Amino acid sequence: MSSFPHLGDLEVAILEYVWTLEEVSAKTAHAEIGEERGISLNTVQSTLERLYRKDLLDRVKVGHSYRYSPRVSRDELVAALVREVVGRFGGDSSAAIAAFVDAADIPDKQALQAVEETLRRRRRDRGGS
Amino acid sequence: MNAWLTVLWIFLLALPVGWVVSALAAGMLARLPLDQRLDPAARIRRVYLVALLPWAAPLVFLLALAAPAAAKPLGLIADHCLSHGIGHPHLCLEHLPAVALAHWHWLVLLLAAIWFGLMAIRHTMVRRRADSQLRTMACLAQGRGRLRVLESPDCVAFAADPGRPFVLISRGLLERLGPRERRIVLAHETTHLRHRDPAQSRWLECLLLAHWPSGAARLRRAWHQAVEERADDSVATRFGAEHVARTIVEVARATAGRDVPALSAAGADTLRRVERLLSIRAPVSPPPVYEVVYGTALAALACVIAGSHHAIETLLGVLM
Repeated sequence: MSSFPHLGDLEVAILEYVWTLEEVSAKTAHAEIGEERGISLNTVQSTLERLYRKDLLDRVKVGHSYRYSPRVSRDELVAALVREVVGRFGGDSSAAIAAFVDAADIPDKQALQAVEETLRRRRRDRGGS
Repeated sequence: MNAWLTVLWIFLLALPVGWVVSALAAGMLARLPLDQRLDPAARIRRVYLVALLPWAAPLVFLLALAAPAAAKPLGLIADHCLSHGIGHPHLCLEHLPAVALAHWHWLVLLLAAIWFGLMAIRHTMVRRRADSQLRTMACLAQGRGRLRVLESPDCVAFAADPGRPFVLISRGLLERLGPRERRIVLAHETTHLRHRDPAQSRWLECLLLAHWPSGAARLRRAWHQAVEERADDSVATRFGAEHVARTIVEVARATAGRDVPALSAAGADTLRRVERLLSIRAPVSPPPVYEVVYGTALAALACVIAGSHHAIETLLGVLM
């Protein structure tokens, strides 16, 4: 996936459902998710349609209805999302996140080794005293 | 009516002029390195003050220009307007200037307003997109409280606030860390939430909209560094500075080993954080000299502008 599409709460819930079953119809998705949330079959249908247009689902027509299956796996989607969100951090001004370690500011191997050596030495010194 | 429009134009002109001057000043202030020995909270305060400058100074310009106009009816200053020529622009609400404005006069203000409006719209759209992605990430992660675990082999941990604050940590990172290191990472991120750092970051970004990009990047970086160090300090009091330093190095190693994108121009300097934790110096809490100088400088600026009332009128007369 080159870039990550916007996903709403319901879209994520439906995607999760499709990932578990591999192939679903609007009716089965509505029975599983829609009724619990109090939303209509039409809403579920349009959500599936949106996910299809976002290239996240495939579909085939069976009789009068479509059957949807995942086009991207959960792992692929999560990886794309991590790339977007973590990649944006700092580079784009509006990401309101505070990362424990920013990938862009990781020191090179030598600098890391030097710091680790310092840490080891301090531990040894403390152990010896 | 035209005379009132002229007065309005003159007062509104104070905003872009004040902005240009203060954005330049803020850019220069942002170039000055913040003393790293200072308490992170003091550094955060200083970043905010500099970030605020291009917003505060135009208002100071406007108020300082308006002050003599307001002081005349109250009898606080002598009325000298009638000594001016008829075509002289007055910063006065009693003797309105008989200066006709050309279309380009308004065009200047309109272009300034459009430019700022476009910047604000772009900022809002980018922020909404980022929030949407963070919310999606929170939905895809396990857990519905403040702690979310993302099933991903990548090594990421962060605190975010796309409307509802949460801490997200990836499974990949959890598996790389020992129990104590996990607690340190989580405590660090929870400290960000306690200080409302992700939400504060939004306010900072709004303030930085009025800065030149280079100055904004410097301030953003200084802010992130100070915020991370404040969280480090907080966690170090519980777990010990060395343990926190070791955890940072461990997470840096884990992150470096993976293909995580790295575009940041504003994140915190990891090595500096570690070195700071390992140094035995206690951070210095400075007296509020910086804040007092800042406030005094703004007050002095207001006095100079208000005192230069006549000179500004003359300058406007030449320009118009």
